[in-house]
Amino acid sequence: MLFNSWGYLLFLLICVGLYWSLPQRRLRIGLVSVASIAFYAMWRWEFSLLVVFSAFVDFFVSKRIAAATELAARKKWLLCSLIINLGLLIFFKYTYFIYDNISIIAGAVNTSLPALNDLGVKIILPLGISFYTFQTISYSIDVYRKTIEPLDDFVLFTAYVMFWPQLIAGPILRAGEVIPELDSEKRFSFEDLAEGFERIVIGLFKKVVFADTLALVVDPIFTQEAALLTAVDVWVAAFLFGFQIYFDFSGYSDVAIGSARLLGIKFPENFNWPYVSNSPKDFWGRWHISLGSWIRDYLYLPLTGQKFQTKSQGGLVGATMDKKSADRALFLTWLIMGFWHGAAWTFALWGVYHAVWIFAYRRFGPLKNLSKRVPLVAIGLMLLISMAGWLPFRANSVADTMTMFGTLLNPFKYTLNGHRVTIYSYALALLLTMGQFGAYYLQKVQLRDSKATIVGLRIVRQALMICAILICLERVQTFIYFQF
Amino acid sequence: MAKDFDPKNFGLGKNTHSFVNQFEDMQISGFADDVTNLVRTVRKFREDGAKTFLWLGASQLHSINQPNPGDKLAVTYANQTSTQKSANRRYVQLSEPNANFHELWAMLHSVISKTNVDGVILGFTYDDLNEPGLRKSLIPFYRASPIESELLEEQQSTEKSAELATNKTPQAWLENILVDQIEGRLTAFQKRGLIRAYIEAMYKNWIVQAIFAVKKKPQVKLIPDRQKWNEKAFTRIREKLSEQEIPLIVYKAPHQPGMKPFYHPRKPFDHYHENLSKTLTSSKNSHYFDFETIVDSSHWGINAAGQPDAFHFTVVGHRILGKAVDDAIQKLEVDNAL
Repeated sequence: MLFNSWGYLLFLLICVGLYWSLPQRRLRIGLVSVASIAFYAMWRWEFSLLVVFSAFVDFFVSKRIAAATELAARKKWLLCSLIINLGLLIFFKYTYFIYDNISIIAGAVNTSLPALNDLGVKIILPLGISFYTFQTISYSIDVYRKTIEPLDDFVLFTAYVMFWPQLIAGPILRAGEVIPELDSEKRFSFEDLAEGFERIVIGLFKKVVFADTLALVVDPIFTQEAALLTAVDVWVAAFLFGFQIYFDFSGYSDVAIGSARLLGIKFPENFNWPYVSNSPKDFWGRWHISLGSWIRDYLYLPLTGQKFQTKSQGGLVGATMDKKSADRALFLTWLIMGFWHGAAWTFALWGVYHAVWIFAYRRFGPLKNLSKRVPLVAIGLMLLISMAGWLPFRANSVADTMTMFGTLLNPFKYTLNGHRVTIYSYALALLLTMGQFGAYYLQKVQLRDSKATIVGLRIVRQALMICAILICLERVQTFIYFQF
Repeated sequence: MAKDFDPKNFGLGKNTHSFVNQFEDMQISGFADDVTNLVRTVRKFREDGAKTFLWLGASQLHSINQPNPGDKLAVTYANQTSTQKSANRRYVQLSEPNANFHELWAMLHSVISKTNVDGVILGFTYDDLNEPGLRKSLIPFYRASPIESELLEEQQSTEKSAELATNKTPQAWLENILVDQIEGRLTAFQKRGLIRAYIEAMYKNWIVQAIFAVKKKPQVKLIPDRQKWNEKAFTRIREKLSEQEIPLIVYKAPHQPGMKPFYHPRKPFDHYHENLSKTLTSSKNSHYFDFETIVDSSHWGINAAGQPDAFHFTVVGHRILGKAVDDAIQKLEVDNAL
């Protein structure tokens, strides 16, 4: 089910009303499980069975892991969980990609393979599979690492895996963070209700007003022939898409956090003003924090032999770089990060792009100390790096991406003559960039003078946001991150 | 904001307004909402023995710059010209602002599925190949047309943001019911498209001008995917008319002569029309006329940014265009080409 819909508001109203009217904790957990399955089934009911199956596998396996006394047996059961979870993910998400690449290789040796569709194979990507797979895997690994005890209650476990606010596009939360919240006795609080409502309004405002409007501007730019774009065009395209994906995904996270809060459950933050970062390390501590933290604890740190952490906060940061194996781990991790986002070489390129910059910032002195010596320059440079990084993410092919990068590096392409992007888009990119810094500054002032924050002002702000949402809300607009 | 504010007029530019005309007490021009009335008019004209032509196009047809009381649209002047010549030709016009070819297809289908016409006249602006989407008022006609599902899917794949199949899901079904209910009860929500159009026009014409002090209108290039998408609908229009043996008369829409910069880059614009002319004149039952420079540069409007308007002219332009169209049809009749 999409958050930015009347259907979701109705669903939320019913669920929140029922949740607080149920007298017992057990009944509430049962309601969350059933509602979450219904939430998923509103997309395609048959695929909700797949999520339940995935949950069942990890519920069963984690009990076996905990029961096994020998390390070899524990490893065997963990491997079983990984094979099933990753097997499903690879099958649904990467079959076409793998087959297409095999076809290309076969073509190079004059062997022609039929297209999968011609063979009668049609695979639909289940909504949110990358998110809930990571969540269930982390549960089994946490049990294996003995950082949590396995649950005996399958209903509670289903509620954790399928908890609707974070089911489709995260945040990717750890069992140790969510299960105690779900399982605790909670009392109805108007503060939770008000905070949750405000957060949902902010999230919908970001998604419906900004992200969906920006999509109308961004999509036509990326259908243009890449070679004909000027460098200014490419920068504008990168900035506009950078803002679109930020508003889209952080808006989703806001609605997720707000929806959970309506049930008295506090989710950790998933975004923290990423475009005011002063280094790649800073950026990845602010962007999609729960994914970065997941990759850090379940992939990167184990690869470098360092101690993992147990919270979905902090992002993909914090490791020593004095070993060659750590460099290899960095690039491998980012390659996987890229492929996690999508089954295409453009996403792999996106991952490598970020690995290169993280590597450069760690290794080269001038970059390493930039944020201390000239903070504003560091923020400006990082803004350009992060925005240019969205080009492979959004471009139609690796060739298009390389053409655009080539344009950015060509001083003769920095011209306004023959531009293919309209002046309105130029202005929009400029306004959004200025607005982003302005909003960040205002929020800092507001936090500093939090006592002076007027309740009336917040109500007026929300009312204006709701009006804007109603003006911009159309029938079905998906979130970019749904495809991951 | 004016009480009778209409974003459609705002988009037309300064002192340019849209009109609906009558001729012989029958409505002869209108928008998608007026299809029923226009079909009635076509039937009446044909019953009276007149050869009746359906004239399709964008805002140029229904808007007049600096209008005075009594000023009429080109379609009225075309009918008057025919009457003055004692000819029995009648014209009925259906137009929407920034209409693309899918919308033109929907408008055409809305009429010819209910009544016969003796010919279809199409004002081809070139810019219409760049127009995306399908306005809500036309969706019922589009859905009723036999090509609905295929083209609708193409529209979705053209607009790349929605890559997942969210149509035909329980959620889409529920959402349609809820939105229909809310739109039916809340007029302001129903009009949100117009409000967005106003905000967009305000952004383009005031905010951007204030930031950049733009003195000239930027040139617009066609977006390849969108062009293909629109051309597909144009091909459907031609095929449908050919199948029903209804003549198609396409004209290159008048453009302000000598305007600098030209709205589109000149070279691809000329090249496109050259090819279009060749294609149409070599096809059975289709014709092409070049009306680009028929309206002198002194008869054009000013857009909302205070710059020369490339598409909308004063009543003089309407008189010239109306006469040009009737003369062209008369010539085709004389040549037995209709």
